[in-house]
Amino acid sequence: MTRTMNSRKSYNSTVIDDLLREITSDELSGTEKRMLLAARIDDAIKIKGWRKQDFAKAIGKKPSEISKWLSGTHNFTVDTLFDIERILDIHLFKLECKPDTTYKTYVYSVTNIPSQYNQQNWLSLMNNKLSKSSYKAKSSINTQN
Amino acid sequence: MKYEVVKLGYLSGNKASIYTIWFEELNRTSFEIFINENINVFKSEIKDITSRLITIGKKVGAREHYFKTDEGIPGDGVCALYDAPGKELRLYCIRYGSLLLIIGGGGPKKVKKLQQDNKLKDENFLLRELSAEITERIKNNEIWFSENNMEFEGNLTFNDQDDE
Repeated sequence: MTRTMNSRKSYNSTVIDDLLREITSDELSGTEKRMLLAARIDDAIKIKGWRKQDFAKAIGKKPSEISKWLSGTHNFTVDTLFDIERILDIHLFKLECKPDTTYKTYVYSVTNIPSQYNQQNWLSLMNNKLSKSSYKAKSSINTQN
Repeated sequence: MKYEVVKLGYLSGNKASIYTIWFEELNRTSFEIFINENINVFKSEIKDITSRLITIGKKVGAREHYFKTDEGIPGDGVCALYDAPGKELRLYCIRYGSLLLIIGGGGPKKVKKLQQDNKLKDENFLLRELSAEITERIKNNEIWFSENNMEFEGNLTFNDQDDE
């Protein structure tokens, strides 16, 4: 039998094109995240070797509720997501506290303190300058004589 | 009525190829008809459904859990895109694993049983017939899958009067 390739390989449509223009990147991104989250949960259920019913029982829900969760349309509460993480031994969030201040250590090497400063007021001047920046620093002067 | 299964380039991606049905008489596809019939009343739902189809094509594939399965006869792959909570629109599809999806038509689902809604029943039965016809053609080597299983190849033109 001769195989004939279909003449109409890809269909373009102004109706669909116009509709796509109305979907914002935020809307699409939200849909993607919901569907990816559902896929992640579905994968974790399978990795556990569970069926949907097993997961429903473990988390105390009806199987129909799990179907909704996996549909990629569900708006989860944070508590539900925490429960899912716990039951399925997965991490859906990467939560960590980042300090909002970066600490850096600068070593100043000063060979000659200008004559108008003594050791104490030179140190005070440097600390004053550093405190105005976004950095907190400790500075000290080693006298090497 | 003559129709052809065509690939929607806009929605397809490297995760799944999305096809629809082009009706020669109407010079329109089933998905365009679905959009035109519902865009005025259910615009946000149409946008949501389209976003989900794009995501299926480009990001996640036609994984089974995104669909309500068993909307046809056992094994024919006829299903519906999962009805979002509180939403009314239903869109019927045929799934061939997670790589190939044919989207048909649909409409607002206001009744519990398909048989109570002639519009949805017609859309659903069209896909049941198409699925049976594709299965028959695959058996007869008139339709086959591409090497990467992401394309239908062969004779994708159908005619209602082809019934044998």
